[in-house]
Amino acid sequence: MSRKCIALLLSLLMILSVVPALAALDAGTVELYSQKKEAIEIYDQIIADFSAENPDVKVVQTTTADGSTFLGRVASNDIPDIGGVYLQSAYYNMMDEGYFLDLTGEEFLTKISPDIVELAAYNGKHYVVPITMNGYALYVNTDIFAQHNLAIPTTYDELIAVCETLKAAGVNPIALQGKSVGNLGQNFERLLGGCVDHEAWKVAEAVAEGASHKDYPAFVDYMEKWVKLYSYAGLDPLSTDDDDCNRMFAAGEIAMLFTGTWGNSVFMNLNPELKYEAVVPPTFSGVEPFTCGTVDIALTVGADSDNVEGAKKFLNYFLSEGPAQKFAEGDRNPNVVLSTNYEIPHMSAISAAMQDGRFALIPSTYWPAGYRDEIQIMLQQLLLDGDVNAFIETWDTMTVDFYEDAE
Amino acid sequence: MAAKRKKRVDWDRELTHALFVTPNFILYTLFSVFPIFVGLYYSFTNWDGIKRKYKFVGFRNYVRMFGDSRFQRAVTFNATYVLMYVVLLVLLAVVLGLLLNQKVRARSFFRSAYFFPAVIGMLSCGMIFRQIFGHGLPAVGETLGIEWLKTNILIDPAKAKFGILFVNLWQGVCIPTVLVLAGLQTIPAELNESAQLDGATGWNIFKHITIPFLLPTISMILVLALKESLMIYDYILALTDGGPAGRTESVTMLIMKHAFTELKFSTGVAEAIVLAVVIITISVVQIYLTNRKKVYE
Repeated sequence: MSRKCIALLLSLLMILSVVPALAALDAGTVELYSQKKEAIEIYDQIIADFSAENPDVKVVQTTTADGSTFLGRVASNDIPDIGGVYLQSAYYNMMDEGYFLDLTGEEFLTKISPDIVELAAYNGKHYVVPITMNGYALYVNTDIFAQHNLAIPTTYDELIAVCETLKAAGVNPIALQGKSVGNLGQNFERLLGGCVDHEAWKVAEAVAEGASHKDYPAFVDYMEKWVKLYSYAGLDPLSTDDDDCNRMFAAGEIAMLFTGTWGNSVFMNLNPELKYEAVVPPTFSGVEPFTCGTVDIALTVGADSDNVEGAKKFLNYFLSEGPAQKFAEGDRNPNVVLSTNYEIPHMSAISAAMQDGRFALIPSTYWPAGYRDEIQIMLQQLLLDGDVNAFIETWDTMTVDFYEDAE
Repeated sequence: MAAKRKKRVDWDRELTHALFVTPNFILYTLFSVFPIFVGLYYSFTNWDGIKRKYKFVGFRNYVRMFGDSRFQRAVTFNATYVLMYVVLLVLLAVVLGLLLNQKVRARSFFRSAYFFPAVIGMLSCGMIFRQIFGHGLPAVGETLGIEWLKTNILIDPAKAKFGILFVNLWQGVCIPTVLVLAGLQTIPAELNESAQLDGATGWNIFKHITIPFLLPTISMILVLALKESLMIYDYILALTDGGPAGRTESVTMLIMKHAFTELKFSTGVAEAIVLAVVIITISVVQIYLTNRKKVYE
């Protein structure tokens, strides 16, 4: 064989090597893009059931627990057919830009609690299909509390008193993590929105207009209390991440833990025998404590999807009675599909708070995109030096910058 | 006549070469060169990664970048990290290469053992050491009463980068060591023997024979180490995620966060362009300098 033929053959082989990648972009497949790693299994089960009934539509699940991947997909104009999003500025911006299909009037929206459908609407349009809600909670090991004859704390002072009692008795009172900045920011934001000021974002708007967080005594007080609370952590917060906290709580090594309703399925899986309750976190400022949360699973349909009909068919199936019930039981978050009927173990206090209106939307629903990410890094610094004044000064400056950029 | 014939272009040969090069050229242009120019274009806009409309803002992203304290902190981290990593990596690779080149018992075993870390994925390696730093070493410190071992090095703002450096070196030194070993095989044995006969000391042989022969290899290791340390991301992600309080946030990590988390896409691209220029400049200067000192060609 001549060199020319070999060269030609090698060239062809190289070009052919990219064909499988192109073939992967199968136009007949509906991609379900989820950002909930704890829901992978239950999604897979629902997809398998759907595929058995609808062999003409193929659904594949893509899961990342990192919002940056979704933003990367949007930046490259590669919007998933069905995408799991959050009610936050970045996703509202995507709605503004027409990346998602307006689903107003779709029959499947009538299967969801109307209040939540309205809550999830944006500029009067329904781009998202809300499936579940989440709320922030204080998880309490009821065995440890019973052993030490303790009552569930409803105020910050009671919480500190419980910590002191448990510490004196040689029990790790509370798990607080500071290693993962994302979870640190989540804790700060949700306690702020639920236990300090239910409309905390309005303060950020005022600061952007020239005020200071120092003008809001409840905020300064919260920062000081927040720092003090971390001094009761059973392990050094900066060397502890979310998984460490979950593991310790599930093993019964720690009495309390702050996390969202999503933690319930984690604990039930890790230790089904664990005795615990999730309660509304105590008030820090005297305001009535709310559980602070958002729509946990909100699905969109890509506006430029080649498989809009397939995507809608899947959503219709997903929200029908049997699959919705199955998903609710598997996901164990408060579900907003009307036909679902079940009791979430350990979550009655949070469910009750949600039902009777003691629910606040997370501040980052209204904060500019990326605002919380910047605060998170500052929070780690605050844990290191405990300098509340320096934190607030930096917070003021970055607030002005972010709101300027958002304009 | 003969000279003229030599100069005539051999079209058959040229076509064959072109055919070999064309697929790579197309793919490289499409996936490497083209995105660089697209990135350069976006760095002069205010695109946030989402909006379909954006406008030209000139050099605003570049001006802001150099005034941004977070970028300055990342550059400082990168600069100190690169310096420490490159120097230590080259030293370790040469020392290990020389040791593994000795005729000792179980030489093959040692060579394999020292290469072993290279087969572990960067993220896996980071996860393993995160556990060691977070739980293993503090437990040892508690048991033996060693104060400085009791705390996790990765949560100390002053020491965290040394933890990352250690893990990076532990894994990163394997390939350079193999390259040095290969470089040592290119030194003619008779050269060392003649030097010894002439009374040269071990240090003289190392300085005047070994190092000059190793220079092309060291040059390559320097470029690779420089690129790797300037673009460090995986180890930081697994070990500290840029913390504590942004103290280990490298420029690459900042680019990623700006572009895909904080919706400052054009800022991230501008930072990437600056990083690319820095890498190219340092590499060119460094290759030029080491090429002047090598012994053959």
